[in-house]
Amino acid sequence: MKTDSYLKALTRIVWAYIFLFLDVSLYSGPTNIGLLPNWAGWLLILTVLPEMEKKECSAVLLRPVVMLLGIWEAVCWIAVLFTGNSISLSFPLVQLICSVLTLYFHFQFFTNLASIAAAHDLPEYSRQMLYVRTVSTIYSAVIDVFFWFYPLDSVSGTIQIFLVITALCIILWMALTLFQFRKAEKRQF
Amino acid sequence: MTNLWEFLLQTMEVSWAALFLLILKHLLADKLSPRWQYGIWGLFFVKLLVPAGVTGKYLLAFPAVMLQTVREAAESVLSSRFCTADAPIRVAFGLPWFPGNPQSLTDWLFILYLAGAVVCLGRYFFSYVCLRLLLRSGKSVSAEFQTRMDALCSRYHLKACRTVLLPDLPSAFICGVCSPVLALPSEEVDDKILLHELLHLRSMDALQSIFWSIFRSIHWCNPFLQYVFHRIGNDMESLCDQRVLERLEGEERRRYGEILLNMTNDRYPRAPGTTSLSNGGRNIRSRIRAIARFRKYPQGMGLVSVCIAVTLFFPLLSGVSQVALPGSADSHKSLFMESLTEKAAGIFSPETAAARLAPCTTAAGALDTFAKGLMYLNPVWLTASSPDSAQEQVTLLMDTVRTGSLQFNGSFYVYNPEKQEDQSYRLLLVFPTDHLYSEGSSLTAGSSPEEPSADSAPTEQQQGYFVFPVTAFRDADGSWAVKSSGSYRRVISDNSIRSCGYGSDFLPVLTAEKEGATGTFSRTSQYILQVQQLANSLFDTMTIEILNYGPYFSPEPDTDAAFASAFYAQTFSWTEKDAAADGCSLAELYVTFPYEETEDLTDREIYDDIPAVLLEGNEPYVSADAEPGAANWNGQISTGSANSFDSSSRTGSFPELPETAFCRFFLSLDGTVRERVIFTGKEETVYEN
Repeated sequence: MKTDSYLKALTRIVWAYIFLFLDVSLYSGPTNIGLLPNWAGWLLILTVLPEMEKKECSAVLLRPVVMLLGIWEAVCWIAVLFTGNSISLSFPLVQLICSVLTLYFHFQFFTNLASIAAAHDLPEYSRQMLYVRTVSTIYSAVIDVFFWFYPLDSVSGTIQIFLVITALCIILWMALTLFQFRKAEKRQF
Repeated sequence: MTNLWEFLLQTMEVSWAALFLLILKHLLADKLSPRWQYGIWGLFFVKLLVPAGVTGKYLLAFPAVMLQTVREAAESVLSSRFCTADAPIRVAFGLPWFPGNPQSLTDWLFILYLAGAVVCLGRYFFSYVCLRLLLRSGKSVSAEFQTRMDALCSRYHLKACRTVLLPDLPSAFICGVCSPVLALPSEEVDDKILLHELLHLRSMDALQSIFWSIFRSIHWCNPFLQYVFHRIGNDMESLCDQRVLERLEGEERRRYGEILLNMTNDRYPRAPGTTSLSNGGRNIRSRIRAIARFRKYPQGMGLVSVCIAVTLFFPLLSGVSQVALPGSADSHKSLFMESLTEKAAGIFSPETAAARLAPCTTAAGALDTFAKGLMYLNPVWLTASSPDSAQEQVTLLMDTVRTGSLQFNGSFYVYNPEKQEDQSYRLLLVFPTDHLYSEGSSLTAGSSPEEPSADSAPTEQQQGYFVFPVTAFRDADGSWAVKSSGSYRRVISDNSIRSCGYGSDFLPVLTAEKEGATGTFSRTSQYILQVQQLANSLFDTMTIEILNYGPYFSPEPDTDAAFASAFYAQTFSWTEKDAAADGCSLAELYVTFPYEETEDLTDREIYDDIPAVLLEGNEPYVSADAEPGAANWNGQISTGSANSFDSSSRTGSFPELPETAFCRFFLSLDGTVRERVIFTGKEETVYEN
């Protein structure tokens, strides 16, 4: 049975993804303040996991992943705030682990959401979640390999624009899917 | 691997990769199935073969630098045959190779390592042979058992193999790859045990265990990797358990776990080419835990498992950290340490070691590092940009600058790069200076400048250039290096030195000449390249450029630099021969720059009307004229052109010559074209000035 807390959790998920995928920063000399920090997104995810675990038991596996990613993002954010430089470049292996965990998290999380949607008689949203999950996972892996061979500053402007547009489309699709799912759940409730 | 240091670097890199994978596997232990947990070791297998640092990157750069420092310190007092003191550690192949007769302590240590690897391999081979001999004494199975086996294989679509019974065998195992044998104890064996072993056979786990055993022998003296290989074996067994459970249903799965539980105290055979159901008490307990988690792994994780492996593939294999060239602050610490080395032997700086490991990946990067090493008297930067085999040139160049009291103003330009037959580039490094005290003297490297004599007029401080002839080339490992190819020159200039980025009459030019019927056609050229500079910020760059009235030059080198700009200044002239212009009132010289390179103009008509020729194809051109009958006629007509061209290069080498390198000279007397000469840009050139 759906509860108000479940619906609020869905809202928080949407906000979490806005924090995770959008970056707005203020630059002032060497200081760089991220206004939509990723750690806030991970924190929101952490708060919704207990509610998700009630609906989908495998969601409990995500808790340590989210905590690790949140801590790493917080450390990076603080480093950028005080030094203006990201520490991810200084610890590339740690960054690589976090990239892998992030890839896993988004895949697993959307799989869990799809499973919840199917359990709540919303098969079309379940299918949509699985599609967006698959496309974003493949895109992330392809981009990782692409930027390994062609660093961003060596790629032509046209290709950069194409990649940005593709990423934006996927992000919008994700956000739209989550919004629609939340709306559908609210309607059912 | 042909010496101790290469082995140490290789085993260290592989260990970092293994540690990374262990951490990742631990984080994903309960999230991704045993199939991924074992499959990810495939990356490790490839890592074992890939030479460490082959791409110029490492998983962790700092330990590689430390190892290089220790090597330099150790090899400087040893006369090793297998390696030299000041060469960087370069692993050519991931497997060891016998390099020859040892001479020094480190050579002998490497031989000792090789002997250990051979002993380990021999031990494995011996135990395999013993097992095969033991199997020969085994009894064949009964017909009833064979029927049962055939039914099992048919049910699970598996292939059977020869089966023997051995008394007192602790647990079942498969031995062999080409002609595998399933060895069973004499007691009744459950079908699930047979299924387990047949699945090992189907997955060719015996062959995989041979490969793992080979690498285990190669890294026999690394205890951490011994633990890792042990883990790999356990993961292989866990994967086989997974495969068994996928084929069993309900109560059978629980029974399978009970079977394993009963084996916790059993011994098991260990040899390459064998697989066994039992792999030790502690390992079986972890396998049972995995069996209990069988249904709890999230479903549908196949895609993300593959994507994770793809994401890890290139960074893990080729490394993620490049050794950074020490900056000026770190280098000055090194300069201090270098001075100490004269007093206390054996103190070597990590900065110099890092310089040997930090490759200059582009020609511009090598020139930038070399030039700034000269300008700031930085031996670390000179080391980084010098070839491995010419380290003495660092000392020689430093002495040259010190004894000549050369003072640079922080900028440099690349003049006249010429490609040689061996694919190297001969060029000039031009350093503008405000502190020239003598004129036109040529000094050999290392010698002291001439002292002005007592009765000579005191020299004034003047502007000019220091011109260093160098050669830039690709080293054996693909990185770029620069070596000095002659003595430097001092050149006085009474022009502004800040404009030498666009050519200078006082600097050497490349000249090509062709004899014609009417006279000598010559083309002199200067190619000038500037290297893209590291900048703290756009604001800083613009401020400095405005204040200095010239381009910004960063005090820090960039080993990956590109060429920022390329300029090509040319002068074209015709010199009369045999009074060819006598009696003419107008002599004109036209130089056109066609868009296509061709020497064959037979299909194009020669027009008497010069403008028509020039307008054909809208070719750009320059021209000059003179009156042969005039009093100031000197028998020569000259003109020039200058243009920038594309300085980019995809290969990190020098940019291609501009299109204007190809040109056609037309000599016209009184409106009639008398001669036509083509310069392709590939003519032999000589230096003048």
